[in-house]
Amino acid sequence: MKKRIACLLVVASLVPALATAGNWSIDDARSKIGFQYQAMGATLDGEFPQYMADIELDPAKPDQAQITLDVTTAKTDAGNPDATAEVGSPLFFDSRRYPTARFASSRIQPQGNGRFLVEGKLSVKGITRPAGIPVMLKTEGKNQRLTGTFKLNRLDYRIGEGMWADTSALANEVKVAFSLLLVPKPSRKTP
Amino acid sequence: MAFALVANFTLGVSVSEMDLSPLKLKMLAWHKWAGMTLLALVTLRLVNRLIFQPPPPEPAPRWQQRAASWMHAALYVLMFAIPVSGWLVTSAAGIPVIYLNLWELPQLLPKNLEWADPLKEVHEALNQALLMLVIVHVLAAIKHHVVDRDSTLVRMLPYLEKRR
Ligand code: HEM
Repeated sequence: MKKRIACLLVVASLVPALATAGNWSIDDARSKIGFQYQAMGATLDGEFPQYMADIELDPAKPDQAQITLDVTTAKTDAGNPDATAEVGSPLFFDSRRYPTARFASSRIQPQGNGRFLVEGKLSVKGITRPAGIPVMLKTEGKNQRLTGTFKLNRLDYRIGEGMWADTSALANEVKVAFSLLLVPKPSRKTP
Repeated sequence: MAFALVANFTLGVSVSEMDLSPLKLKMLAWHKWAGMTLLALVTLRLVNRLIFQPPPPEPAPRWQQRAASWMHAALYVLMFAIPVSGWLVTSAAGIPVIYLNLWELPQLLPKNLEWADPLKEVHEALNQALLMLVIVHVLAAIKHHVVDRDSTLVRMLPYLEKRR
């Protein structure tokens, strides 16, 4: 019995490390991943309120960083109740089959003044395409602020299929803007 | 103008019964453009009516004259208030009207999704009130034409005059 409990404790102590790898966590309250799209020419603001990041970063060597970000597609707030109700459906994110959209970095090119081009792969709705995201990294006390904006074409990822492929009602281009506050994790104890 | 009003009323009802689709978005945009055009026309008409006295009413019992002037006032108020309330709905919903896909009209309110639904109900209720008044108005006009045989209806529809 004692052995069992000990065993459980070991597993339990491993769980947080497994769930969120990397040496930084995101302060959700002070971070945001938003997006902007156009319906009948009117600009609407949406948000991805739920995401999980796995960030391995040494502020002294930012170009060596590894960033993986998973967005929970079902939680998407499309900025309008009718649109929010629709956005998880098979024609859009198909959240039941593809619960997350992922960006995974592969190479980071420094561009001076705290700017970087993060190259990697963006996977949405089962479609993976290369993506380059210009970002800025700023030190805020002990924390790091990672901001950036990029544009993508929703139809590249089949976001809006069938009747919604009609770009005269719903524009193809979507602008994504994010600002993430990275908070250092308490340093991992080496066993 | 009356025809455009009826058409836009019908369009509004059809749009509100549709599920979200690109066609709905387009029809809703047309509904808003037509509604804003009607708002401009009603405003011009109100100004016109305030500047130029309408022709004196047909002889009728006093209660009828009173009812008629209330009816006219109410019709004008609604023809004005309905598009304004629609404009308030889209403002609260945070969806600006892009008139004819060319000009973005100002928002009357800052975006506030909690107000969008109640305002939509106001838009709907005003429309129902308009529907009632129009029915009464039309019945009254027909009564004047058929029973009293006066020229009330002909004055409303100048096109009939030519046929007399
Ligand atoms: C004289 C002009 C107008 C008339 C007669 C009119 C009439 C209507 C009617 C009958 C409905 C359906 C109500 C229901 O049963 O739920 C409706 C819905 C609506 N109208 Fe109007 N309207 C006018 C102008 C406008 C304007 C100017 C706007 C916006 C700028 C507007 C925005 C809307 C919206 C957003 C809806 C709700 C559609 C939905 O359910 O998704 N309307 N209108």
